[in-house]
Formats: sequence, structure tokens, C-alpha cells
Amino acid sequence: MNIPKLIYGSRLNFKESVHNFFATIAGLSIISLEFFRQVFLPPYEIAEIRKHMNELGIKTFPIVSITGLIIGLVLAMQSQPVFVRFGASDFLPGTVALSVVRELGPVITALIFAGRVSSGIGAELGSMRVTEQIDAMEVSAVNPFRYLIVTRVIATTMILPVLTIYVIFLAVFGGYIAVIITENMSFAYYKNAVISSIQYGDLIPGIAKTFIFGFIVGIVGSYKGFTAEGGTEGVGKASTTSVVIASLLILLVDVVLVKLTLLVWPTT
Amino acid sequence: MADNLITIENLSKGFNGKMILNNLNMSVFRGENLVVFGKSGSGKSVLLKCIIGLMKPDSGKIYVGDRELQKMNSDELNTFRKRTGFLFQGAALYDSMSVRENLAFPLIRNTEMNKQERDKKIINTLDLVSLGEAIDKMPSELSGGMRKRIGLARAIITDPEIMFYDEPTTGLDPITSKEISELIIALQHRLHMTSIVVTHDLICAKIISDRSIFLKDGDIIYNGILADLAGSDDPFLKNFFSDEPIKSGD
Repeated sequence: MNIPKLIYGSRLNFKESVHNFFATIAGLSIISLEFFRQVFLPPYEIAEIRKHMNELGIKTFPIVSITGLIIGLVLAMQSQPVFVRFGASDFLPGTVALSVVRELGPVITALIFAGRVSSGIGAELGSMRVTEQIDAMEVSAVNPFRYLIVTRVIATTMILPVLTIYVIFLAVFGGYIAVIITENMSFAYYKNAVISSIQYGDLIPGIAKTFIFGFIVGIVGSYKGFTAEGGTEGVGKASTTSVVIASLLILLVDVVLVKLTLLVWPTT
Repeated sequence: MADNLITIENLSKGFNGKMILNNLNMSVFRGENLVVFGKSGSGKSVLLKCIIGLMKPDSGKIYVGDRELQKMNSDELNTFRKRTGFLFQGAALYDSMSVRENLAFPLIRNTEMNKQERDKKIINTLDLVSLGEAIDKMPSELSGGMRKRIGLARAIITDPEIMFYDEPTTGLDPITSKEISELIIALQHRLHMTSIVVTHDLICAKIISDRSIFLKDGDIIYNGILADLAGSDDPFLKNFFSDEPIKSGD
């Protein structure tokens, strides 16, 4: 698989694709460092952060609701015949919950969030770049990085864990729906089985990594939008490459984080 | 001797190996309206963006008063920018904000005004550009001429000392162009600003210009009053300002 070409499209030759790939990695590193340099400096633009959090939450709420329910439903439906065959139906609630809390909930929510939000940020900032709105902000003696990027990245970093917790609850509930279709299991029993199977070592890393995923979604969309060039074509490119890069980074970072989690909580 | 507000020495700027501005020297005098002419791609907008610090020159120096622009730190650069207003070619209104919010944006961040004072200032400034009724409209609801007027209102709302206009009449019909040009000169007289206007529009220049310069091949080929420029015997300049079709070989 040619990852650089996957990100930048087939029109570029290999050398250009590799150059762009490393330029993006360098650009993302620089913009991330700049974010941490500027995030603690005033003005804090709290109203703007709140506005973005509301918008992003509302924008992604319907799609993550459906996804959350379906993840749990499908996972339980797929697993149930196997558990029944081995007489282990009692373990089904715990298995669904663990899968959703540890991996499926955080990663799938982050991927959906990337598709919905990273592309939106890329398109919005890209459009502002090519129509000189960012230049206008700069000549007004306003720091566009702090106003546009820092606020959005904080918003994505804060809202994704909230959405993930919501998705986890829905997925667990979806699992219950699948179970009661074929089995006679009370909600109290299902709930107790779920609670007893989840430990801090499952919950904390699962939720903690969504802060990192949220940061990735915000920073990638902001970077691609802020550096967009070439009119409307550049805006479209910023939007689509944001999704691809953010999704790939989420998956790659997840591998690293899973490994780290297993080092910190080896028994989990 | 005239009071130099901006002095440019040996300014060069290129893109992808092509020099757009080549060892350019010029001055902008306090209180004047300087019109910058040139063909598309001759570096007029690049010149403005270098002066305001949106682009870094490859070489050369830009002085604002006696302070060198390239040696200013970000606070000093922002202090300079607070003394300026910039009307962009497409007005560059913030799409996600209403007209009121667009105008409030620089006031909230660059002044100590409270909400009442800000609202009063916004209404007064919109009255100056005759668009008081557009205060709660979104940029997408405005026509091209209205966007330019709102862009102008946003640029002047902080009472700038220096105004930069990048093609203020491009894309507008002749009547609206004339209205915008007359508005610019009326505001200039009222607010006593120094203006640098990049344009192709001879009617606009006739209304606004105290002095004109013409950029060609990265350098100034004419510096003087508009009447002499428009009546020049130079074949290139003659052709530029002529209404007649371009002759082959010109």
C-alpha cells in the first residue's frame, strides 16, 4: 500500500508524494508545538471554544448515536451464537462492554468524528484562507492561530471524550437489545454483568486516548485548512486530505496506545 | 521636505524563481493618496502585503516612520497594524459572522470600548458607508458593492492612520465603482488618513489620486501625477490607458 499516494492522490508522482508526506508530518509537528506554545497565552477566547464545542457536538450527535447503538447490537448479535454454543451466554454482556469500552467505542467514534469534523474544519479554514479572511484577521492585529486553531483544537479535544462515553452507553444498551431478542435476560442482570466486568484499567485508557484522538482531529483539520492554497480546488483538497490523514493517524496512534496501556496495566 | 510615513529601499520579492518586485524604492508621504498602477501580476498586491507584513520580502527594507518593519517583534508589528486598515479585493468579510459581528471584531480585540460604545461606533461607521440597514445581515446576503462598503467600514472602524486598498472597485459596475471611489475620498478627507490604493481603474484613480506610480517588471517606471501618467508618450503606458484595441506588436 502506497500511503503517501493514498493521501495525496494519484496525480502526483512517487517523489512528490513522498515529499508531501514528510512535509505534512513536519507541518503537523510544527503546528502541534505552536499549539502548546500558544494555548496557555491570553486571550483565551472561551466563548469561541464553547461555540465550537456546541457546534461539533450537535453536528456529530445524530451519526454517533446511530453508530453507537448499532455497534453494540451487531457485536452482541455476532457473538451470541458462539457464546450459546459453548454455554457461556453469561459472559456476553461483559464481552460486549469490554470490546466497546477498550477499543470499538473510542476508535469508531474517533473515526466518525474525523470524517465529520476534520473535513469540516479543513474546508472552513481553507475557505477562509483562500478568500483572505485569515489575512484580514492578521492585519486587524488579531492572532488567527489562537482565534481559529487553538479554539477548535481545544473544542475537539474536549468534546470527543464526551461523545465516546455517550457512544459506549448506547453500544452497551444496543448489546442488551440484541440479547433480549433471543434470550430471557433481565436488564438488572445485564447491567450488573457489565459493571462487574469493567475495571479502571479498561475504562481509563479507553477514555484517555480519545483526548489524543480529539487533538489529532482538530490539529489535522486546522493544519490542512490553514495551509490551503489554490482557490476552491485547494479547499476541497484540504477537506478530503484532512479526513484521510486524521483517520490514519488515529489508527496508528491507537496501536501505540494499546501497547502502552498493556505495559501500564499488564493484567488487563 | 515631505514627511515620509513609509519608506521602501531595494525591496525584492519573488515566487518560484520569478522576481515580482525587483529592487524597488519608493516613499509614501503622510496624508497623501498614492495610487499604484500596473498590469495583473505586476506585484501591486504583493507590495501592499509586504508593507503590512503579510509577506516577507526576499531582500530590502521597509521603514514605517524610522522603524524597520522586518525588525519589529510581533507586539510592535501588531501596534503598527492597529494604526492601519486594509480593504481586500474580495472584502474578506468573515462568512460566519453578521455585519455587526464583523465590525465588532477589531473593536473587541483592539480597543477598551464597552458594548454600548461599540454598538454606537458600529452604527456610526455603517452610516458613513450608507449601509445602516445591513447591520444584522450575513455576508452571503450582501451584493458585491455592499460587501466592499462593509469591508471598508470594518477597515476604518478603528480610525486608522494608514489605509491600504487592494483593487477597491474590481468586479463592480461603473456606477458602484464611482460611488466606492467617492466614498473613499470622502472618508479620506474626513478621517485625514494616508492611503495606498492598488487599482486598474482609471476612473477610481482620477477621483482618489494625489500621486501615482506605475509598476512594471518589478520596478517603478513612473512616479508623478495621474494626468501626466495617463497622457504619457511611452507606448506601453499609452496602451495601458487607451480605450482602443491593442495593436499587434505592442
